[in-house]
Amino acid sequence: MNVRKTDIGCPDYKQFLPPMILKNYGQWDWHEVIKPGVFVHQAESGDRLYTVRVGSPRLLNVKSLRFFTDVADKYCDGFLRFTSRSNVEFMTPVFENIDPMIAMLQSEGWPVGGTANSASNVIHTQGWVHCHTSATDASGLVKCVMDDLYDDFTNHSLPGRMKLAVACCLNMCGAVHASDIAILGIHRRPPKVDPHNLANYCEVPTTIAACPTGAIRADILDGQKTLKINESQCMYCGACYTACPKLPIADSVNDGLSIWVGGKCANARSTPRFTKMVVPFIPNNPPRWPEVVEAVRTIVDVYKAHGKPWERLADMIDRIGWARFFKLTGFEFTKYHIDDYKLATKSYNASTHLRF
Amino acid sequence: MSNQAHSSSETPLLDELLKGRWPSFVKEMKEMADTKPMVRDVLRQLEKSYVDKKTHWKHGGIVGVKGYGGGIIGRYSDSPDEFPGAAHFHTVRVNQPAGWFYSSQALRDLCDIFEKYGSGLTNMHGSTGDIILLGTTTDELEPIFSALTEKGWDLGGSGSALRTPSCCVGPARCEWAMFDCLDLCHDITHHYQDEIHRPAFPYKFKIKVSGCPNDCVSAIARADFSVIGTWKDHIQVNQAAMQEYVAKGRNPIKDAVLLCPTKAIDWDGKEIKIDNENCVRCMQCINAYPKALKPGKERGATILIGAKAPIVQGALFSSVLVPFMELEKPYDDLKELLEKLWDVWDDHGENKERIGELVERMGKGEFLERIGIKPDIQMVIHPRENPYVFYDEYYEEVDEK
Amino acid sequence: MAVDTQTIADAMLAMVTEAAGVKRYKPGDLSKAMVAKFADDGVSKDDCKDAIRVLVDSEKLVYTYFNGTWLEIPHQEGSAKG
Repeated sequence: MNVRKTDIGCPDYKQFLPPMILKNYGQWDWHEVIKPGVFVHQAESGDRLYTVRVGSPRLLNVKSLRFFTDVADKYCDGFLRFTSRSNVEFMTPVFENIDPMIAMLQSEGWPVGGTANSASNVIHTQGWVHCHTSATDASGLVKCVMDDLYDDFTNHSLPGRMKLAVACCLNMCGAVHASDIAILGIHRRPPKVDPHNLANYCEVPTTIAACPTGAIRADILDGQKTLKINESQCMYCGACYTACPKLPIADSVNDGLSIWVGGKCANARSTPRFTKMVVPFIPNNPPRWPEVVEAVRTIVDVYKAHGKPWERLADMIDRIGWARFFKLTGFEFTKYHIDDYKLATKSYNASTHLRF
Repeated sequence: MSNQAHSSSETPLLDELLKGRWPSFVKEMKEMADTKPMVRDVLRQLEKSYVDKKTHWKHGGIVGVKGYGGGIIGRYSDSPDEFPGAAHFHTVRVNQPAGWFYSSQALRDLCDIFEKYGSGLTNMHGSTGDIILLGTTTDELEPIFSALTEKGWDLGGSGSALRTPSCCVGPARCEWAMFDCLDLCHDITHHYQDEIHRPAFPYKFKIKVSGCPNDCVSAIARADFSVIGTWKDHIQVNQAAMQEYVAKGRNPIKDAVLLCPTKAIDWDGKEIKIDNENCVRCMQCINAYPKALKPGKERGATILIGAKAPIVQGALFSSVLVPFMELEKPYDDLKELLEKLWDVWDDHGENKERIGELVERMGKGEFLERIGIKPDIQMVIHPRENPYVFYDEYYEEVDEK
Repeated sequence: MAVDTQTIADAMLAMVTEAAGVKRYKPGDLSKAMVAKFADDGVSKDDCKDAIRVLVDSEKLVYTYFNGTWLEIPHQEGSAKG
């Protein structure tokens, strides 16, 4: 038996860099997008590196990964990389490799795009595929939304960058709080306690301690220890279900989605900012979530029609105002759109700047 | 494709997601279901979720590999009798290489391990940046860990630990990397193995490293400790290259001048002029004209702290802690700062309190004092508006001279 | 320091055992308690880290992760009970 190894950390990235990158590391001069999904990076040495970007569903099986390695072996000196948005990037110093490589990728259904003013691949979370607190299925939503935005992924059809994200509950493992368009799974009812035999599955004191708002109290049912939830204090985080499987938060009838827009992370032009709610609730409608797809399409179409070059959605809304954005999209403005948490008053309009 | 074989049978709703042009995660799963009974049961369970519109997973909280407090996320089916193959379906987080570069050989090694010891399904990558093996059983955890370490891979972080640091593509393929993001990410990952694998913090702590203010890894929104490249001196201007852009039809008034947030750039038809003292290093003009405009030569990073998602106290962006820090190996200044932060957080943070929430509760001024950093006007958007100031000192009349 | 790692580990284990089922401790809670308990011996946070490693490597305690990370006596978890 070998000695058990621990704490060896990640492997050294240098062994995974293509030869042209090793040669020109830190010596890049400029880059350009040649066409949707294809970059050229030129080094100070004059060397040029071409990158082909394909979108992936993030959930990938080993067969797909092996196919990617075949592409890398054939055209990219045996190297490839992934992006923070689950795209795969194939890099080659040979210009003539670009088109056959794209043909090989497209023949297996991999979309080339996601550069510059195209709809980005969607950052997303596990959903019903693998998460215990999810209010929806992230992978399914992404599939439906990207089927609809496919031509916007493979073309530079938008005024500026557009980053999309899906998170399947408000714990937000995905970056939905700072994306141009975000879909957020929401629970609307506190967990239902399954009191039967609860103490056999869960530690009562530690489950009580798990609640961030102190909404859970001990209770007695038929002489046995159980738990009770003060519903008005619950904020639907699912932390108690994490601690105790007898407090499921999933709810077929009440779970659903909300849609948010106008967040960004980049510092370009305006400072980073959070997304704002535009649609407070859409029921789960699997397998194709047509209402969500339509709402996203509406936002994208308004952005296409009214955004100016370089403007992110947030920049466009700064210019045209929220009132006009709601008018153009046709979304209804309700009491749920008005913030009622800490610092809510900062979002009240304390001016006579109005649009009629 | 072998989709047709299934479409009439077990998962009619999921089969709807085999349609359409975007690559289908259902196809990815079905391809493994042919050889992996566990994936078939996970698909059947997922179909059930699509029917009754709710999840069928439960959280596990104990399983792991010996000695580590993280890297494995326990997951159990809530209907193990109905879906025995999905009874255990734990996640393994594998620490990705900096910049997410792979050789095809290394990726194939990972595939072989994932296929042998688990579902053969992955996420490339998880939200924090790790390689995710989606699904294995408790019994396979030690064997998979041995197989991974044998090939030079280790687990990433989870729980109240330093989470796996991640970085953008950096100087490997970007002219705007203001320091060696990959080296820094790799260095801190190795330097803090104990903090990653043996959780000892009040809650999670994420580090993300972006080479420039475009922030391609969303460090400012997603990391407790955000390292974002910047420069101190003047933007480098190549007037000839600028004129070439204009000759090809580009309009610097529209692409730069009107978009500059501080009106710091001008174009008179022949030359670009930049008021560098008023430039906030937003990157717009550089993004628009990469051949003509480049960041200055005095390069380093801004360090910001405190970003997080909403739970519990509301979402936060990171805010400026150190306006400019030079980042040269062995990154002693950065490590000293990190350890100071962890010390104060360890002493004062409550359970599940992110460092951003501690700063909010304690007040940034007080926090700065505790970590020994002098207040700087660039740490805030503007000075305070409210007059409720708690002064440290005041004098009695008799003290006056 | 006047006390060895094993002594700190034993004291930590006693603390966790006594509270089992009623209260959980985070690694930081145990360290702070030991630094206070052995204040006269100058026990440091790093000494406590070593003691935790002894306990975890010998599987007397395991890390658990129900909303944050805790150190507990090994046991079967609720979710694994079907």
